[in-house]
Amino acid sequence: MLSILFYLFATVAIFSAFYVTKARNPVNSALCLVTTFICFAVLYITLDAPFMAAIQIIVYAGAIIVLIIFVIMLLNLGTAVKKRYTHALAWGAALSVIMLFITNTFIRRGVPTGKLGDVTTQMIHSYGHTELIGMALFTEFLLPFEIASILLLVAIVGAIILSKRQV
Amino acid sequence: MSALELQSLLPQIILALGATTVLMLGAWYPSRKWILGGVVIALFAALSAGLMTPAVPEVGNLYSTGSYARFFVVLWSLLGALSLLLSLRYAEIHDLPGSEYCALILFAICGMSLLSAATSLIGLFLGLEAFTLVFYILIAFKREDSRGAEAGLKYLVMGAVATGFLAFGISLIYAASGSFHLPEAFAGLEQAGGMRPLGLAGWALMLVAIGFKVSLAPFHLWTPDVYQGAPAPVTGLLATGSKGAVFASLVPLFAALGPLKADLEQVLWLLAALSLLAGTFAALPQRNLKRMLAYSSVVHMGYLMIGLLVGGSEAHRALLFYLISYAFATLAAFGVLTSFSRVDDEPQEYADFRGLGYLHPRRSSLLAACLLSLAGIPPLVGFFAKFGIIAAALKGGYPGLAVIAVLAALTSLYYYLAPIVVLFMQQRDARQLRRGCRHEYFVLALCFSAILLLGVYPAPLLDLLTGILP
Amino acid sequence: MISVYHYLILSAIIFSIGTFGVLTRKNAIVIFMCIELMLNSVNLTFIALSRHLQNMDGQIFVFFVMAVAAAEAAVGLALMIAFYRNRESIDTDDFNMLKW
Repeated sequence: MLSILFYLFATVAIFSAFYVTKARNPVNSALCLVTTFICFAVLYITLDAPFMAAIQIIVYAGAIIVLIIFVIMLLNLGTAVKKRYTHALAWGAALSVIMLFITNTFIRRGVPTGKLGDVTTQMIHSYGHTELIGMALFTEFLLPFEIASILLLVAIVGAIILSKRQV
Repeated sequence: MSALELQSLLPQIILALGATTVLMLGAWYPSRKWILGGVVIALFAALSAGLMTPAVPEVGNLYSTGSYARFFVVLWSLLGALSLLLSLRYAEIHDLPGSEYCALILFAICGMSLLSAATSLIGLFLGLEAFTLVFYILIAFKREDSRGAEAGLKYLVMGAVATGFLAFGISLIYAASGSFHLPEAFAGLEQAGGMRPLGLAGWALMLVAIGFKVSLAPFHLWTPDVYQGAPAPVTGLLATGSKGAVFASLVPLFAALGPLKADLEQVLWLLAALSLLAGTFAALPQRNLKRMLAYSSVVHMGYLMIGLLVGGSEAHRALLFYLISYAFATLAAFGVLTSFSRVDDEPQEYADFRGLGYLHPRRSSLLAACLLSLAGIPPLVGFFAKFGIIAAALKGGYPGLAVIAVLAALTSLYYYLAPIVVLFMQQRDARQLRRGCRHEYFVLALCFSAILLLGVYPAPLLDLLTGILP
Repeated sequence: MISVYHYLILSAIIFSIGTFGVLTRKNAIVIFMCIELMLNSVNLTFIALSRHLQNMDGQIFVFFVMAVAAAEAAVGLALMIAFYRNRESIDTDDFNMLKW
């Protein structure tokens, strides 16, 4: 059952990811991107990470895609273009295939068996995934959380400065 | 987080809080004088890092507060303060929003000092992203100039791809060890067991990302465009601080790497040699000072890579010395460019500099001194820096790289002398005076004395660097 | 049975597709979407590994990747608007004021 689910959603994710790079119209690319994101969210649920699945839908499929589609509409780019690719199509394809091949061989040969932690499936089911994430985020990783907030503040300031006509 | 940890992180907190305060106050009292406030905040952070002894050696398993980290907090704060001072007149004539500009630079310094203190891969990732994000904005800060937006977009695409590679590399290293904290993260990779291939793939991806961020040779193509399009004071900080902070974080990273380094040796060798060669050949035909400095920075990154490859405290000391000498000379060069800029134009092409040596002899000779220091002419600090790196390469058993480095240094004389010739030897047809201001002169004088003094008497800095190296 | 390898290889495939798009597409906004693809595949790796290694750190890292992706998206789209205002296009062919 789980493997059928995995293969189904993995195939859909790969195909829609490919169509992101292939579609003529940027809006179609954006829609394919949403499909990939949703497939990923399903895969997160199969990995016992329901909170990450929810965040994936809210942040990526919600906020970021809406932002992208908003800009596409604002700049009126929703029309198909004649020429999609740069002249480096062959080079780009070759490079990414080589990269895939190399990473693939390394991943197959490697055994990710680093020392196991204590967050087992039972623990996730008894505590709840969100609680575990919250515990980690607000105790051990509080400082990085604050730095991420600085990052978002910078992004807000930057977005205002760059897109405002007169400050 | 305890109060002791907060106290140990005081310099970074001063920078972040100071930036936020300036941002808020600037909303009510918009003024370009806030840039001076930013200088004070940066100096204050440098002072607190230099004088205060931290209570804990490491904050939250993320950032070290050791002497190495604090040295770089001081260095980046000083560089940031100098580039803020340089921007004062520039912001005035280009009508840049002062408090936002100042706050962004302070955030960038905060990110750089976090990056060079990182002892965990999470800390590394966030520190790096914190200041690259700031630079995307600062590069495009001049709104009326469409070249700025173009350069910013190019840098953003390159930077975001590099972020992807970095995160993927970190994930594979995490696969091998289950930890982000540095000594543990590499401990799993040391045995020849099953985790090694994953760790190596992770390192390869991380090297691609680092290559993008510091513009090493096959990944350097964005550099000249971004340098050319960005405002001159921002380029100064981008060329010195952002690249330097990455190298400062790499030194402890490679020191913690252990036996795995033997596997990466050939890749590092190739990166260093390619940077030296590609940068040199691309710099030779340039007729634009900013683009020439961009390609020459690729060459300098190649020299720094040699220091990283050789390893050991001697080579790392040479690397840090090189980094500091490069930082001051480059900042001063971009400082001269800033002070030559006027409302309508910013001199970049060699033709713009024709005869300026007669109109503005002091600033022109200062620019010449910086270029000569970058080229490695004896009384200036660049010579000792290059000498140290090449000696380390010979001692570490890399004669091939040493030969390439010497050849690159000799060839570099040609492209560094070309703008000097234009400044002084051609007829004086500079159309009008390019007035600077006293803040700029102060910064330039400071950088010049650093170049000269460190060149004549480098011993104290070398002793200091020996002391801080882990 | 689905092991951690399946997830790792799936994310390697998506990452390569993203790289392919970044290298070959002309439209800046599509390039941007391909970068989001790359970052998402990294997230999948982290969550799969975090599950496999039975510790939470990987999932926390995903948070920060998401924060960075959101921040980059905001700044990147603002830059695109600024660029479009000057040039009426966001094709990489029009990135030509500076020699590429």
